[in-house]
Amino acid sequence: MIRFATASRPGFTQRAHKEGDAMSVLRSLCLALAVTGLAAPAALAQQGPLRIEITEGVIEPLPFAAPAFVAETPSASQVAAEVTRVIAADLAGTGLFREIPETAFISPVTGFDAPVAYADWKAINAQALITGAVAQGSDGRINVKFRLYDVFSGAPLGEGLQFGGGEGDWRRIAHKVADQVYARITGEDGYFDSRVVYVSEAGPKDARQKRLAIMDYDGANVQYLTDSSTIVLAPRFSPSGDRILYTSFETGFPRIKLMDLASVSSRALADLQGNMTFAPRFSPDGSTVVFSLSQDGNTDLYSMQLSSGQMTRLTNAPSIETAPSFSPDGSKIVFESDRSGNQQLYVMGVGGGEPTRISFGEGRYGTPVWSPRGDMIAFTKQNAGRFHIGVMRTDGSEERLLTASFLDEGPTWAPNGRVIMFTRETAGAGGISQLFSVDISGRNLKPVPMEGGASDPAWSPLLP
Amino acid sequence: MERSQRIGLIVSGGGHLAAILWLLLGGIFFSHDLPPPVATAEVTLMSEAEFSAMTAAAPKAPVESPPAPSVPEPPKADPAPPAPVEETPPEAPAPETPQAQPEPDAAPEAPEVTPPATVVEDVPPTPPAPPLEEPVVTPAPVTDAKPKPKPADIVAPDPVDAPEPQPDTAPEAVAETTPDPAAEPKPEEPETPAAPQETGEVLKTEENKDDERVASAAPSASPRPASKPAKKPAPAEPKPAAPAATETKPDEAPTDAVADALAEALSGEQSDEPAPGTGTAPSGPPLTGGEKDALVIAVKACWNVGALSSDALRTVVTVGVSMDQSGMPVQGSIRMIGFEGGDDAAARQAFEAGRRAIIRCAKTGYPLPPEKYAQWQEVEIVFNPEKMRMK
Repeated sequence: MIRFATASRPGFTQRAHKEGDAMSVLRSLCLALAVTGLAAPAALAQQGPLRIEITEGVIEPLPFAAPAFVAETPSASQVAAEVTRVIAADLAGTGLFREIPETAFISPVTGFDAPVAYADWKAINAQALITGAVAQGSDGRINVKFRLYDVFSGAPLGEGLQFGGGEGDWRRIAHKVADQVYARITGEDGYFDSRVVYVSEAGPKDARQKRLAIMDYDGANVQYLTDSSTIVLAPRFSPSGDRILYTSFETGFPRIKLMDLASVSSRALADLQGNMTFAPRFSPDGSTVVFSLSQDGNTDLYSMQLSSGQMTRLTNAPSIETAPSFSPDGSKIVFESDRSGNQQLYVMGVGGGEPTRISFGEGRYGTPVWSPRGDMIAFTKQNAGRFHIGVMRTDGSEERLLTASFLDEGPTWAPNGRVIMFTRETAGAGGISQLFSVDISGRNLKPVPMEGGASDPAWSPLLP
Repeated sequence: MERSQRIGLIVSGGGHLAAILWLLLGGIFFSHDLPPPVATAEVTLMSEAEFSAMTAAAPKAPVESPPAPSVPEPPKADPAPPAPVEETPPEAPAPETPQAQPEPDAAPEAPEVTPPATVVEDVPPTPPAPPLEEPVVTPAPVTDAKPKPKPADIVAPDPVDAPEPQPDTAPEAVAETTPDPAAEPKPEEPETPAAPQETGEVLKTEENKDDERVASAAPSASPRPASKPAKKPAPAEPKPAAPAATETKPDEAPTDAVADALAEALSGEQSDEPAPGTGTAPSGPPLTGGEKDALVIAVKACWNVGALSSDALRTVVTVGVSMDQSGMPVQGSIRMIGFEGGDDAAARQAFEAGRRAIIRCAKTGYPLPPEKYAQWQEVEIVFNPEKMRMK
């Protein structure tokens, strides 16, 4: 019988084990390296300061306190109160700030140089504090100085400033203070010390009287520039704010006129007998005017050098091209045209050439206006029986409609490109036209406080 | 030698050499492919008489027992030690922490941050006396100019007369500037309850203003801190296992240990690390996700971007702040560490909004665990307004 006796070979087995061990050690090393490689950053991340990211916050008006400016002379008390009121109204009117009522104040501000009781202002959650003083000289001139404080940081925001002017200039001075406050908190220029020229309207719809008027941006200081014997339309400020272009029906045909604001005198822009000219707009440097000219039943865009009167035809199409507006750098013009079958927006070079269509949504687009910042175009849109004021990027993207009503039209930009003013007309025979303003975010839609009807607003640049 | 023979010789030699090299070195590269240790058997022939004598003399048991205790055990002893070593680490770091305590000496650095000191610095501005004393009020840009457009008196004080100049031409002009709309809207009712316009994707009008209110500061969900995974008590002692198992264990034991280490590293639980550079401060483990979230929620409730410019809303700013042990930010320590996406002016506005948020919402101190003070003594907050921009 044959039997087998088995025995493992220790030598061989040991070698196999050694190799296995070596490999497993190698593997362990690799894994250990991988582990340390992964763990190290995690460990390091814990070494430095704690790091967190905030991606959501709140959008609320920033609460501010504007205690009555101190009257440094007895005669200045009335003006001091008025100046304070206008400053607060300017800021609160933006929708970005909220005024804390005086009744909530804990401690009064007794002097311009008095120490600020930050704790008291913190207690009422005032995040910004405006203090100031007004002095009036014997000649009536007033001097207004102010300081702005970041209450929670316990420090002034910028330096104090003062403005001086005649007795009747206190509103402008107040607007200038508000502009400074606005700029220091938001980081962008203000728009309070500016004016609006518009068409004042009176009477029923079928017999409406129209005349040019100019006012402060907030509806104050209304002054009429023309009488109501002639229909006027679409006034436009020059870049320097000292001249106005508008369309007049004085001769029975629409005709562009240029008015010098200092003398309130007007002259026709060009003598084009038999032709209608309208929808004028200054170039950013004020040297050129672009407008629509209707000739033989066809309307195209032209530009004219103000110094020489030389005209250049910019478009040549059987369609209607109108409502041109320059880009702030003066290199492009946006306008409306029905060359595609209905009104759409187009952009072309300042010298003319093939335009590029930028509006593609449903409905009709018109009255485009380039933002002073250059990044957006405001427009009127009509769709499904409703009118809207909207904005879009200059390439037509990111269209946003800010308003919706029976009739909204004719947007104009605030000098800082943050607010749009436009005409809103109510329906019916007794409907009236009013000026409204809206933030480009679509918030803070509100009527401009003024008496009577108004339309066709044009915002001036900031006053010097 | 003929050429053909030489070729044969070379081929043969090369082949043999390759075989030898493979035998010598192949194991390094391919050892893992080796089959499990081959059990070889030596066979000898024996006569029946020898066999019966042998079987009669020795019982079966002794024959089987030798392999069991002998060979397997020793190898197991090797891998076994590592396992215990890995379980002990939790204890090993413990001795290290005592070493960390000397570091506290270096911790005086922390006092260097001296929140209190900066606080003191911050106090000065509080009495704004200094700024006041300075002629901060710069006799500057003044508007002595009267309102520019002084259009004399009212140009048309007489108006109110007959305003019926050319009623025929007017409609035409209206038709040009404000095309047909004027005509069309008439028949339509002012209130068309129809759905809002379909074109603009977002109609941000006064009507739906409220709908787009920014999400409230309240957290939509508050993630609970993940519970600490309980550590499995490692097998105390490697038990003498069955012989069969002993052959595979040597391989598995280390991988398990590594896997454990990997899992531990990835779990982020490095609670045994000493506190970074602080002496007196209690260190403790890193903040949990929930604790960080609590801080985020607290700060974001006060981060108001409503008054920021669009440029500032495109700026991501990183703000550094030192905290005192009660969770209050040290005001003077709030600083801008960096920013991206905007210019200096925009960054300053964004920073100020962030600073206001940090200070305002710290009314009684942020809800941070005191025992982990060293972890949050210094905080960097990234304020990223991307979601807050106007769309």
